[in-house]
Amino acid sequence: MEPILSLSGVCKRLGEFALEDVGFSLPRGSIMGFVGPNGAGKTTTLKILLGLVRKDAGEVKVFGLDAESHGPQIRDRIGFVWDENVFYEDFRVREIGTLLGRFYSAWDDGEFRRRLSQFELPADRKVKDLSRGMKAKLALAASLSHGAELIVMDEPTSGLDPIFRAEMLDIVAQVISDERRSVLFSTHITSDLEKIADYVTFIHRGRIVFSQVKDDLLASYVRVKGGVEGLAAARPHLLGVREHEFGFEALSTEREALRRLSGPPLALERASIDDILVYSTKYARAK
Amino acid sequence: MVRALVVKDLMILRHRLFYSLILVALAVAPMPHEGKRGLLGALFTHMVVTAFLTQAALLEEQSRGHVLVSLLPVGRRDVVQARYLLLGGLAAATATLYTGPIAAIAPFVPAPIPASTVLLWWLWAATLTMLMWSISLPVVFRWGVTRSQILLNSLMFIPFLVLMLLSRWFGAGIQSLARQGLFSSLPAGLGGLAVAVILAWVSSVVSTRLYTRRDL
Repeated sequence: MEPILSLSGVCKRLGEFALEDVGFSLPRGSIMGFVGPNGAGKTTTLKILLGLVRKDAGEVKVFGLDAESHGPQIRDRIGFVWDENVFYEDFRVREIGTLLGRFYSAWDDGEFRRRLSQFELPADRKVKDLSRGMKAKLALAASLSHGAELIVMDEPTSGLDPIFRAEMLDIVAQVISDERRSVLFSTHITSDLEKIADYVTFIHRGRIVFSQVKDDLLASYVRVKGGVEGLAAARPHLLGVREHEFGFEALSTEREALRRLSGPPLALERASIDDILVYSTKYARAK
Repeated sequence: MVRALVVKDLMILRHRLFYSLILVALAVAPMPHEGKRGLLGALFTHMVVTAFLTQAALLEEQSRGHVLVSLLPVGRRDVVQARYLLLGGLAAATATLYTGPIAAIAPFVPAPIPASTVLLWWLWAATLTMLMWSISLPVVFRWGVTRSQILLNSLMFIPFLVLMLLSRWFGAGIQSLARQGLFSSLPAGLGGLAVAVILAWVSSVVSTRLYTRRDL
């Protein structure tokens, strides 16, 4: 089946920063976590796929259409939850529905009212009086009210308290139960991804480090702990090493090779997404 | 889509629109009834529309509304067209607000004002506003509201400054033109508006080119 979204060879220079050869694809009906440190190029990539920033090279297709030449048609089928509120602060919640209804071809006012009720959003309250989490839920309600097939979320859970975050993630998981929909979820809170993502794409310094199925990713990496005396033998099999006074902690994809090593035993643990990101960037030079 | 964008701008402006209408009504009454009234009215209309459009743009940017607009299923060309339509509409509406009450009382004042004079004032008011904004909007579309803020703030006072300088440097020539009836003839007023409309069209083409190439 054709992916709902695909990027290949995308390049963009913005002053000192550059996206280089960015490419990944998102299958229909799945959630992709798009992760990377601040300034890695997540938002620029999302802006390119929404047609807000022009790429210098490469190809971006959404719903099989070229993102640059079919911007309005594509955005008619996309919902968004941005890291900050983008709705007019002086508008009441219901007025946001009235406003958006004028733009989307498939806007369903009844669905909007149902979603407001489901998310416990007061229709008569002004946007400026909503909490950060409520504003994120409003954006999601709007996305669901025009039948968005792809929902793009840029740091939707940053700044939310744990209860709101959990609630937001539950809603996103429910959203995806409709298999027509897909979610591209940019975040630096990797624990969120462990709960809901099917795919993880990691961008660092403008380049894609990996883009793969989350379960395969977690299965392929292992976190290694050992004493100082075991490091020399293990080092060729390690991707990133953090040395400390009593030994080292590292990341590896060579589980069997590490098990076969003679010498002091090493502790091999399941790596989290956070471990994979940190060790493959911050400590990668120590290899 | 252009219509939806114009409605959006009017929804954003509605509260300020209400207060500004009261301001227009209050300001029209004490204006002098001599010949300078047309000039004062034109400048005043220009200031009100400038304040409106600047407010709309600032409110939009403060609310990150420009991000919202860029995420909606509208093309950049539509966004530019909508802003120019709003400009034209506001220029016409404010000029009407200014001249409407005058037209209503014109036959009853001690020195009745001919309808053609009121129409001429309307034309100058709309023309001045459209001319100034036709020059400014491409700058706004290229660099955004925040970076164009100095220009927008000074826009209200530029016509005063220009008129002051013109009268100082070319006072005799202007008076000679005035004596020949250039500023009081209806064809000249219509010609001025036609020039303003053409300039607005050229300006919108330039704005579209600049805005479609801009990264948001």
